Amino acid sequence: MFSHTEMLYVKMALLHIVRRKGRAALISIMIAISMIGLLLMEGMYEGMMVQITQNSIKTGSGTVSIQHKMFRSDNNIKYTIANPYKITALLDSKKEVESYVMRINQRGLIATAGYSQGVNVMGIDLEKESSHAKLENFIIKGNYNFNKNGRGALIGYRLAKKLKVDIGKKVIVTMQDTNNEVVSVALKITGILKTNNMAIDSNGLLMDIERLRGLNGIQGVTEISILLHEQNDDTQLIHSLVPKINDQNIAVYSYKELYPSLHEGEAMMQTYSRISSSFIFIVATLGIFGVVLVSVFERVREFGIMMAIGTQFHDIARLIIYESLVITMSGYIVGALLGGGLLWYFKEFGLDLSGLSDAFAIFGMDSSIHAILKREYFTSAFISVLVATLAATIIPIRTLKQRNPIQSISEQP
Amino acid sequence: MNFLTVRNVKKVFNEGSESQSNALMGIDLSIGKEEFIVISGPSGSGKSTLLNIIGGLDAPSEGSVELVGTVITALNENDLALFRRENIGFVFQAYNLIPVLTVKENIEYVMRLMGIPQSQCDARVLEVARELDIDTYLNKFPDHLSGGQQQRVAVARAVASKPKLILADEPTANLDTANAQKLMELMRRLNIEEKVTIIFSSHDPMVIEKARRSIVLRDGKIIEDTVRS
Repeated sequence: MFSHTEMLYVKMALLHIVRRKGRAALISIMIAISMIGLLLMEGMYEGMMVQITQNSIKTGSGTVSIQHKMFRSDNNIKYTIANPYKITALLDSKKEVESYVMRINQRGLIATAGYSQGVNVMGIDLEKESSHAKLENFIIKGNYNFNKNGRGALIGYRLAKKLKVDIGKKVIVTMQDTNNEVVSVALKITGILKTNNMAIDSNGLLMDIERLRGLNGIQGVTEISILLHEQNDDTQLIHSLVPKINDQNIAVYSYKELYPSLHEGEAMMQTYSRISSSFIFIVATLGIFGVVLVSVFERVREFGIMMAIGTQFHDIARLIIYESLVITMSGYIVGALLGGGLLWYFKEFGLDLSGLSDAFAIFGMDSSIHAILKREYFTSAFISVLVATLAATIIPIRTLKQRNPIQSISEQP
Repeated sequence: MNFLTVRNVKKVFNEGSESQSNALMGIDLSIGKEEFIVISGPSGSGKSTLLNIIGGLDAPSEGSVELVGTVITALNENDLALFRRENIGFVFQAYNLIPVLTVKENIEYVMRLMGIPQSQCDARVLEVARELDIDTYLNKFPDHLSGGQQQRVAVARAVASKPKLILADEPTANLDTANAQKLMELMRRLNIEEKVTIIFSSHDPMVIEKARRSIVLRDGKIIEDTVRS
């Protein structure tokens, strides 16, 4: 693989590093710490974003949502999907689809003896939601049921707190039916949810879909919420569904359209991550540059001797690059191992921030953040370190190239 | 054809500035193969500058140098490095060994650059090291050797690759009399046995008298060029 001469250069590079081990260790540690920071930042940020997105998608409108095209702008329940089973039959044949549920979403008013406020009433099928949004996992008090008679309701924990209601208490929910008549129903709270989706936690009341259908007299549903195996398959699914549904009144949305703030948040996080990475990259470049420059200037005489006895300049440049690469890549390897290990730990066991759970919930995050671990983090960091190392050696090598051997030999050590 | 021809070589340092100095003022010189030449003269006479230009380590301000049929003053830095590797061995006043390499690696360095197989390098290193009586230090690093030992290693490095020309710039300046004499005898022997052309600079009378041809420089000009019988 390496010629004898190449091996000699590698050996010389290693010996030079050993001679100046303190400085080499310093730069390696700097790269390793930067790597750990970079990996943790990327993995934790992405983990947080995925969590926020997943919390909103799962308990909200899904990765893809099918609605009447007017429903989004006018939350009137007259805008329903009249024949949802025609669409669900299509979804059954799509391998990208992990699960789907039908829901009725409606604005209403919730009242107790002392308080009242606007509420998002969601008509759901508990059994189907169990294998879709897995809502039972979000129950913090009470049970995941609507009572045997269907007169029970699940309520968001912030809404429960505001209304000062608890399990077993009754609330009155008032809505408009399809004829614009006001209808009311008394429901007993059976469970309190904490989903970290503010639409549910602060304003959500979940009741039996059939009971809701009976109350307001609608036949279809207002939404089909779809979860995909791969979130990024949303566009592909939408492109394949729209022509097959072939209904001018039906719209198929991606979560990116329904939750633009989530998408913007993701983009913002990515930009922030890139800026942070660039900052670390610049700092690392300057650090490596300083070390390489000093190391080259200390050995100008030695390089002059090597050139005098027949070493071509590109071999000297190669020696400098080898040395720099050994130092920075050892830092990269240590950083990748430690940072990767930490990310793996946080991926598996999460970072517990229970003390901040209420504050995090406002942003749609759980109290435990699970990191994401991707190969791209390591490859992009590797490329950054490689580019930083090569960039840092350019000026020292150019400075050396401007001298002839005798000028270099005359240099005082 | 001469082995080495120096034509009207001039060297001006700091040209155009107040500190301008004319180190060489039109040197013309012809040197044949296997000559053993000393260039002498007082400090600042231009001895080192002339050797550096002959060896392609420095470029003249004017004039040309032709060595073994190649006008080296017309070569670029890369080709010059290759030319030096193939044709010239250097012995410097300050030894100038590579500190991170062992004695053996220093001696075989040029041969390795030339792509000579390791087994041949090993054999040649041993041969030269025995001849220079440094075969017991081969695995030591230069900073563990005395000045005289380091200079012998430098000579070994210069001759190991069998160059056509050895240039030695005041090789005995840092050595005591006994070591200086030994070194001169050694170089004389190499000149005869290995048929290497040797040009060295010195202002030490003991060293100067060993040479067969003596060139004296003063103020950048040759003022004397004598061949001893």
